[in-house]
Amino acid sequence: MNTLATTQPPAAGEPLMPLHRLLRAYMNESRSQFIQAVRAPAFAFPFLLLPVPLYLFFGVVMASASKEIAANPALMNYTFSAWCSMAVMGPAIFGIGISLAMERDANLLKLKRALPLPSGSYLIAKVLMSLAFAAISVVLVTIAALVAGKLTLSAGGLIAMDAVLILGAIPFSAIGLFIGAYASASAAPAYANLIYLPGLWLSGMFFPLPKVMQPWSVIWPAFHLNMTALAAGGMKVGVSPLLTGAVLVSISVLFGGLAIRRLARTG
Amino acid sequence: MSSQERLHALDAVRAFALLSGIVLHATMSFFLPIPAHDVSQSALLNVVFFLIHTWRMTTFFIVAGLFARLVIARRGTRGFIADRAKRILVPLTVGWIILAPLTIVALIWGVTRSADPATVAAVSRPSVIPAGAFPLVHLWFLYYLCIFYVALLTVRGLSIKVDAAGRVGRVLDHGARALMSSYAAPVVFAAPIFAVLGFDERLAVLGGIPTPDSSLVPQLPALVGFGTAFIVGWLLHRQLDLLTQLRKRWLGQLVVGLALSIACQTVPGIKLGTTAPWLGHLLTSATPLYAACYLLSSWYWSFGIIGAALRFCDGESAVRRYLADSSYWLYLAHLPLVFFLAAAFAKVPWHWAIKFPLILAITMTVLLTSYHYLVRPTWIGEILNGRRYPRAKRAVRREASAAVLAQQAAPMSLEAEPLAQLIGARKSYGKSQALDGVAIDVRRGELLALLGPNGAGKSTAISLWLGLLQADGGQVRLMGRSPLEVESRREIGVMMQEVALEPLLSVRELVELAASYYPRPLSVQETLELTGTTGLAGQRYAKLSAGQKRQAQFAMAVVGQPKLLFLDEPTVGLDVQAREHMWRAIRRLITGGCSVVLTTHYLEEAEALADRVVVLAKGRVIASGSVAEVRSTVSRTHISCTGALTAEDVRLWPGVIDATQDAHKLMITALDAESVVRRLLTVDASVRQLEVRPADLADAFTELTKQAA
Repeated sequence: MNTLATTQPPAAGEPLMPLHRLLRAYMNESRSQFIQAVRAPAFAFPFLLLPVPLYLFFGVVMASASKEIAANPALMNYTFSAWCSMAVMGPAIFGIGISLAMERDANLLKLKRALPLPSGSYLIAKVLMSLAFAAISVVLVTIAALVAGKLTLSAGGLIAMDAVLILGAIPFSAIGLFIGAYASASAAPAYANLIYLPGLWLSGMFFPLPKVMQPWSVIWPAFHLNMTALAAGGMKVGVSPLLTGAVLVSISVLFGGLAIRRLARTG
Repeated sequence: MSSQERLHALDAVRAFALLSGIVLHATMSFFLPIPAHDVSQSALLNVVFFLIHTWRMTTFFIVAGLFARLVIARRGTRGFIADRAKRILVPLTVGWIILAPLTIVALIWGVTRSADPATVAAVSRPSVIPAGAFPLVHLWFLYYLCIFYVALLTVRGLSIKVDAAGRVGRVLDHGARALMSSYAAPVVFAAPIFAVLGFDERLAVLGGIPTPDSSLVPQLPALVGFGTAFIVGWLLHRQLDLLTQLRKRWLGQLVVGLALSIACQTVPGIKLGTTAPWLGHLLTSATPLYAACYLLSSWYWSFGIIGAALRFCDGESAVRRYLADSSYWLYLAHLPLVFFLAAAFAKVPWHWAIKFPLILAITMTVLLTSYHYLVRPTWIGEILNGRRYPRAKRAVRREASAAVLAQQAAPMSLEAEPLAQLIGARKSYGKSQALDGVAIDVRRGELLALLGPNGAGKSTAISLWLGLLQADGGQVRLMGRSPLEVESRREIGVMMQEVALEPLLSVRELVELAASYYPRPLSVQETLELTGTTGLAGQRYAKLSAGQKRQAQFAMAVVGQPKLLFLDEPTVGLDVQAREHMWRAIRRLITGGCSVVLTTHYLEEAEALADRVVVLAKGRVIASGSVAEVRSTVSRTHISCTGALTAEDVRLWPGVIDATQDAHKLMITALDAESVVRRLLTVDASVRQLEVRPADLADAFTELTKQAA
């Protein structure tokens, strides 16, 4: 063959990817996920900015009026943790679940599988996007809480709590991946809501549940995130943080694994 | 019902019995003090335990007896001994060494952690220590199987000598047939165990035949109860058609079994043990009544379950087969894990309805994962199930490394090797055969047009090359490797049909993103210029027209400097100018050494660009070669002229395939152009504007695909 090598560099046998290019591929993928999320105002606005006014109104103004909190000021830490948990869950479940389902329907995943993407970069990028969103919204709520929230946490406790909350995006991202991997684009929002809304209310984060429902709060991942975060902040909770943390890790492994398995097979 | 089908059903029964055992052990901590005393107690799980315990081992030993005779029939006595030594004795001894200590540790941890001190004392100093005490744990069933096998071989050996004519066998067969043809069989089969346990209070206290898990000395109740089941299974295999009787009566037997189970629970004076035996329970004269109900129920349940399996799990199912294969491992390995989890969760203040399924879910996940990766493809699986299943990925890896070795061995052939190959590739979707033994090579520096009507297999062929599908048969190679390897895909570019790219990214960002996947991409600017998309660079993908979207996809396909480019209908929706531009870009790439696989419905596109054409129809290659070669397979010619003749006049002339006419012209399609033209000129002196044109690719395509249809 004599037509080779006008634009081709000399054939080097294996088309190896230099490490810096490999890292760049991961970075580029994550950056484009983030750009897309930010460019969708219907997504970015409610998930990045809305938690702050919601927290200030319900978690600070309304809560301050309650007698229980007057008796026990540490309860302000609980409302803070609850609103942060909510801020973390949204972008992970909705952002990943719906976008992934839509991209599957649009054959984009099929194309990505045919292209030489570094393994997992696409899914990792989505998880990093939701971590970034979680970090931004948790930091924003934290600032609001420091200004107005009357937190009784120590500085170390607050940092530990924020760290747990931000990392808490991972199990919910795994759930998002799971929804996106299995549901069609039209069904994904419904499934996402089915996890998100009951998870918020039935996990007992925002208000005490009736006694019969209390034991069932443990089935919602939100409960485990909230409990782990509170424990990390040094608050007293009824469950061992090792156990709730282990539940979060298991959720990540189980749902993430199922999603990867499904995507590896069908794209 | 063939005998093979029946055995699928019995495989399912055995798996069901074993897996139910896992459920049974998981219930224990929710109503017993062992393996742990859970804070959330459940009467319902006590009932579940009772019901499973009623039929589980009897059913298992019936199936075991049947399979024992099957193995002897297939492999002879020596083969049977070798097989059983491998699959029963080895798991018993090796399994015991590993599992017994783990189980006992989990048990002690659970009991000391959660139970009240009295129970702990009672468990650590049981009042009755059986003779030959030995903790067989749940592996006792393997020990008893071994005992039954030895007894069986002995009796069989003797009977061959003493009763060579098989008279005893015939009598037994006759009796079994008479019994199995009625609902009365369980009454007879339960009689021996009733003789042993009918007046024994242990039956009610323990809720079943005492489990012989703590002594090496064979226990009479287990020998008789499970031995009878084993013999019944053996007799059933002597006349396999008797299984139809079970199949017929599945519902009736289950109903009777359930009724008797309910009766057991309500026998006056009997309070079933929700506590351990060592805490003691007074029994009354109701014992024999209870025993009769219980022992009968266990036989009715067993026959009902086997019958239901024959009725509903007859055929082959991949899922059932997998579960049946895995169930032996799952059951062997489950106990320490279940006991450990029971102990770990005992003090967690959750409801049992959460903890119980959670324990099962964790156990099954861990065990199935371990089975899939550690057992099924390895020697352990070979010991337990008699065969090992190599994992698919491994096969790919082996194939890949073989290809690498082949390349190293013959470096000279590298240059000549095709960039992409299908070698006898087959692929079907359900019953429709998309590719049926297709062989296609894509050579260096050529543009190969893949043509065919809808459903011919073009997209399937491309999906195989891209690693999106895997062939059912034959080989698929991309850059001399498996397409599943990312390295082979680093040398290709792809433009697919019906793909929506990220709508919110600009064309420049999309090209940048695609560039980052490749080791030596073109610069983004060069790519935009090459593909004529510089003007689109800043626009978001969602805002582009259909044709512009194709151009953006083309830019993404070429940015990685691919050696091979797959273009699936690249010019759909493009205006003339944009199409010309894309054609020019494709030609430049080919001049630069890139190969292209093009699928298109525009035959003039293939004609303009292709070096070689492959025509597919119904999953087969029906023609291949250069454009001229494929064109020449059709010997038709187009003739057009003006004159006095009408289409009707010429249609029936020899050598004419078809004739049509419009306001100005007569158009003739002919096989033998020369004779038709000669006749035209002879018949009609007014013929003017005569044009003769050979067949084009479109003609060849139409003709070829018509022939194939």
